[in-house]
Amino acid sequence: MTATASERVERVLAILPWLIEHPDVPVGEVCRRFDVDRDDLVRDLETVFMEVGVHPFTPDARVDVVIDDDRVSVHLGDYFRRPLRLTPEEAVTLLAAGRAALDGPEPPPALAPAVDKLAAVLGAAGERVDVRTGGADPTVLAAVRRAVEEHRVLTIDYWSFGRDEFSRREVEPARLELADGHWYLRAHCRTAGADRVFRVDRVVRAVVDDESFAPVEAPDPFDFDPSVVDRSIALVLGPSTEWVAETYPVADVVDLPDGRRRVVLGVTATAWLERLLLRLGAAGEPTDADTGASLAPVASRAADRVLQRYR
Amino acid sequence: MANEHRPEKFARLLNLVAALQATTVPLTADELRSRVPGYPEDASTATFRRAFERDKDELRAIGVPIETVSVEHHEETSSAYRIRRDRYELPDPGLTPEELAALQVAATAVRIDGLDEDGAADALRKLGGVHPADPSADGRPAGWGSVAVPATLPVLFEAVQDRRVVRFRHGGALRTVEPHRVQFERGHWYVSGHDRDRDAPRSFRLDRVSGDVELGEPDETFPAPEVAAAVRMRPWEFGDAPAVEAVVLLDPVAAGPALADDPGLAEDAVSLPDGSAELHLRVSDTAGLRSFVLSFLDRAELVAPPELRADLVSWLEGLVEGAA
Repeated sequence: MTATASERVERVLAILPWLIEHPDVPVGEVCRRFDVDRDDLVRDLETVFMEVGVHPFTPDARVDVVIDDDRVSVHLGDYFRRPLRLTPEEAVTLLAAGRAALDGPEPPPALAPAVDKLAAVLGAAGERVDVRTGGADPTVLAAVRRAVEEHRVLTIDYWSFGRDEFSRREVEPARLELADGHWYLRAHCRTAGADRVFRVDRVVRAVVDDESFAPVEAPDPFDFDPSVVDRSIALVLGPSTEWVAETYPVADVVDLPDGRRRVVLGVTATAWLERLLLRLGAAGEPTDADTGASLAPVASRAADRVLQRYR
Repeated sequence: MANEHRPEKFARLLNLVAALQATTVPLTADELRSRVPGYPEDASTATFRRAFERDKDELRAIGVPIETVSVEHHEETSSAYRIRRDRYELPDPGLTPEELAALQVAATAVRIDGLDEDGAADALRKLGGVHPADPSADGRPAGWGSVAVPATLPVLFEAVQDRRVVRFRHGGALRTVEPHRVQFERGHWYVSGHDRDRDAPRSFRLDRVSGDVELGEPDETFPAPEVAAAVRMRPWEFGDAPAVEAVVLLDPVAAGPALADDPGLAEDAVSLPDGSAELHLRVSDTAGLRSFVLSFLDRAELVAPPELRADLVSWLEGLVEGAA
């Protein structure tokens, strides 16, 4: 696709300041650095040379471009000397990517000072865009990354938060992925004999084994689906429990005459349900959405178990 | 068009930028017409105005800050234009080649979903172009993943940058906010600042904002905040009550992930030899504390103070009896 006039303007306004700072550079280097075809670059620079300057367009008021022996130099007046400020969209994109990558596996050492310097030229807002991804242990992330890249078997101690199970597993890692603000390991779990997705911040310990494995074909695109629902529950939410609807996806919302709302939500694991019921307390009137049976016995058993710690 | 040799629009746009940058006084459209080649000489005033307005819009769309000011001329007020150097120029951040390359690696590794996909490349070009070396040369895969960004984020960034008031609908109400900070935490974007209607600090989740975020008028600004508070992610700190210290014991399984999730907690935490951790929390919201402790089921214990411990026990006993 050919670039529009304004896209070419945008490009050349970024290239000219660099050429002024770096006189007599090979044309090919400019093309690589700014990702532009040689023909397009030469045509744009020639147009700038022939037609661009300021009134009255005397030679000293024009942009002087010299392309000689496949090297280029530019001289000009007191304009186009600095690149344009980043647009808010460009600034946010680069800053967010930089800050997210800082929480990733083994960020390059130059990244932290680079992000700081970038933030400093963006004014107050540069310091006030915070991006946190995952909170995974850096040593765990590094081990996972190494195992993925070297096709090495990985032994992990994993806390499944949803089921509240702690287990040691041997996995063949396929992919490390950032999604929804968390780092995930997608792997074939030898212990379970099936493909699994693990949240890296809940991997308490990871050891890269000497054993390598033959990776199966390219892993599928990341399609983690957290909503493997095994039962649906109904709750009645009032002002003090409205946070449930703000935190979890709810369905079948019915407004009750007393101003409260009846909602249905999917439950993926028993421990997850117990947590919710303990936090709700007596409020919420939880029932099984299919059978209508009260879930008070589930809450009671969980409460009794937690109380063991306090006796 | 009769004239086959019209100078290129590309050159005309550049000449317009040069004229507006080089001038010391704002220039009217007519003055620009005589200084910038490329507008058809035989065109009517209306035709010229249309072309000029289009050029101005296109340049603004790529971020050229063309300002409009009113000038008096022969007792008539008309619009004049200028580009202020300090609004146009990107200050030199002084990036080393390694730092520029590191930003490129980050932009390759983390895709920002929801905004212009060329945003990072355009930004890198302005910072001096991309490092000619292949970013995957050191073995980094092409991408780690993505961060989804709401369409409202750039305008909020602009508002934080220029300290402009914003208006948006959130939770069914129109909010007027002085935005101090935007944050991505646990998979969600938030804006925090001063809510003018409530005259209090507030945070808003951006995926709960319905419709656009409207930027206030350029003069509708606010003074630099003394503290740009962050969104409060700790439920035990949500209240306004005087804070009391509570001690929560986390078992070895829960301790690591909980401290990784909120690294600030580690400052006041004591790690015990068996891997468990004792958190010392400043509590202003006891219901929030209870919710936090119970989210760990029996992997956490509220140790102190005795009143809060007793509250939690009676809460749990109520649940045990509720089934009876």
